[in-house]
Amino acid sequence: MSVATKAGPEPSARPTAPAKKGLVNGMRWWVPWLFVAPSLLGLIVFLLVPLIGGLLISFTEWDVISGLDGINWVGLANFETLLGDEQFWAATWRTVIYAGASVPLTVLLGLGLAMALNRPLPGRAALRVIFFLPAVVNVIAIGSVWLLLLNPTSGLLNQGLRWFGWDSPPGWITSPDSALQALILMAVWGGSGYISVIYLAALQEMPQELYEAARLDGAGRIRQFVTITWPALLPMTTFLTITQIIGRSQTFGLIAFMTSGGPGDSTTVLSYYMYQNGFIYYRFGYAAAMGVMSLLAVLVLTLLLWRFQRGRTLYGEEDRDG
Amino acid sequence: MFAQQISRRALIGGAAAVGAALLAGCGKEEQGPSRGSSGEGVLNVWGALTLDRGVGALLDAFKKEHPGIQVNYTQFTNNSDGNLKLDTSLQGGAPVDVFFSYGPQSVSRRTAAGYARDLTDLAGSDEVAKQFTATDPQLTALFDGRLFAIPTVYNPYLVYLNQDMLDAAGITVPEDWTVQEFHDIAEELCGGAYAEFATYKTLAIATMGLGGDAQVTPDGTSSNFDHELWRRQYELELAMERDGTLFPITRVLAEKVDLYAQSYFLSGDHAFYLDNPATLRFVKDQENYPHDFRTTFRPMPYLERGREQWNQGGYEDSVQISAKTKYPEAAWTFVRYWLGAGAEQLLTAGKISPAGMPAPGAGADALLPGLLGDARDDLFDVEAFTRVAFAEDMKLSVTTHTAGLSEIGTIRKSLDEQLRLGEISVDELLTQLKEQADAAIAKDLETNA
Repeated sequence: MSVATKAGPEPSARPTAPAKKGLVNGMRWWVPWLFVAPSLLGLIVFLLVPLIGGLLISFTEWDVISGLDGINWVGLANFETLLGDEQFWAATWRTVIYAGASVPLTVLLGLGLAMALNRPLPGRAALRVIFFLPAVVNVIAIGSVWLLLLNPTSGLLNQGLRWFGWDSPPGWITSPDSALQALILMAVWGGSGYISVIYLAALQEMPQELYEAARLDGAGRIRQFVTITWPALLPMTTFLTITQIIGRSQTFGLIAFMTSGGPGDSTTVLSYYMYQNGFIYYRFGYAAAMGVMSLLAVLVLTLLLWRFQRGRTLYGEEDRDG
Repeated sequence: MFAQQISRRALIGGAAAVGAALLAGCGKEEQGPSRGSSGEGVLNVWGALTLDRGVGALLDAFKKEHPGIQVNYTQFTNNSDGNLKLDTSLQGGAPVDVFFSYGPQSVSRRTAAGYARDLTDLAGSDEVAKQFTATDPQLTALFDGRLFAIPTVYNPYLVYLNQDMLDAAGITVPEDWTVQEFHDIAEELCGGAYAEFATYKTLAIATMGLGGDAQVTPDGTSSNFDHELWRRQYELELAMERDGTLFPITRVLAEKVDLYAQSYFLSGDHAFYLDNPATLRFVKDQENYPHDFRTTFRPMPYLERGREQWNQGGYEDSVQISAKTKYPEAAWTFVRYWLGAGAEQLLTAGKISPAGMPAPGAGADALLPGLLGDARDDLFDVEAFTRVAFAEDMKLSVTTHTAGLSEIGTIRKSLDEQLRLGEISVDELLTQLKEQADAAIAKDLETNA
């Protein structure tokens, strides 16, 4: 019996069509642009244009209501004023404290939760949902619950602290000394569940053979964490830290609802000070200048963090590049 | 590749061009020719009052009387977000024909931006509105002597008092009580455990002595917080905070009470409530605020017995007609209706139109069913309300200087909290307030020069 086989021509033998002038991979140059056009258009309209608009407005005095006729070009005057604005620097310092305390705590707690959930536990799925809930609940609902919890006299938190023997627990949002701490507490509570879910996904992808090898070499749990888990999670940690810093620098809803920047100015962070200047005093140029400064600060911080983590990961740059 | 054909610079340039085009689209719309007539047109009205507070009934009644005018009412919240929404609508050319401005700063900002029609001549020929074009006495803000906003509400401050609590304590509050007596009675009621706290708000002593421009010097170029009445005001506030007659600031912050604290008065915890007639709607609302005591009224306490003084309330909720409206005559018809025939519908919300004010010596019987409700004799000391709310010597405040007003409000709130929390002294508050308010005024005047 003979078997007829249908063999096509060898690829190398395929006649190559001569490249037509003006074509890329056989397409007109603009055809791929059509495919990316919807995303690109969204990016331009909703990101690039507002970004450039905000930058331009930062060089002006503008109250919005006067329209384009009311725009006064003032060059760098807003930035000069900012440098001498004590309230701006105080708000910036509060933002640094707020983000500087809440981001590491959120990330560490998130990591701890993820590691705790990354093992067989009864009701593990339910726990994951519970920890993630704050990330999806409306900020006003969260704030309302925290108002009750943080009430200095009848709140559950201070009642608990008194039960443990603390006679004069913090006044939380009613005291300039503890209001920012209360917001940090809420931020950590609200953000760690989200962080834990991301970490959990990373942990579940970890190559188990590394741990097995480490165990064979006699490495304990701490040693395994330090030499395998942490370096492997470092890129993820950097990403989460950066996004959390960006998020914290923009925190507004919780502060507007819980404290309106008070008591006194104790919780007037940069985003709230920006809102006051723009939306209450109608100084949009000045507020935009603050936005630009904030953007630059976050950008610099991001670059520094990115530089810091390079070469410290489990898979160094060389490894990844092959 | 593509990047070579459309460079990043070109992309950014293109984005800037799109941005400029979008911004240009937000430019001021040229005023078109007038359309309609006093009985015909389509009006877009922006106000903060919700439909259930009498506006719905007013609009229905207006429709019956003026079927040729269609009114589309947009309700906005009277806070910074809501006001900005209206401002951007005015600026961006969204259809707004008639709008309400709450507070002197909003009136001033929209007028200065050219969004309001000059109503001086129209008001001058109207029996109710013409009083607002006058300069002696001046009842509302004028701009170069011209009227751009007509107040729709007579809004005096009154002291609401729990009559049953006073009776139980055996206290008679004199009609011409002084600030000192206000404080003494507060102490007596709290000391005798009749009230948990006497009051949520303290007295605006500086405004009572100096009027609506108490925060600034007469020329409006610097702040006036070195005046001795400001010291007196903050000393009283601090004294009341310390002796427990004033609702404590820690509870204000913890319970986020903000503007509305009537529930403490209506639950019988507080003896007094200082507010305008808008609070009447809560007192008569037995469903949400059930209480079994009668509310009586007194004038704001006097700085000095027998001396005339300002009431911190004013003629408020100003209505403005957009400079861009295509239906100016229909808009004026609507404004007159709101002030006049339609005002009756708003009494239920505690809004008293200047047109509805009883003539001197005449009773206010016509207003009482709407203002105080059907159970008025059980809930209110009706005679005291009429006497106090419509007193012939009532002198309402007028704010004419608005430079830095919003910022000064924020500064005052911040320092006031610090004072009541014991973080700073009255001296420190006044020094900082003067310095920061001066800077805010200077900044505002420089920007708008």
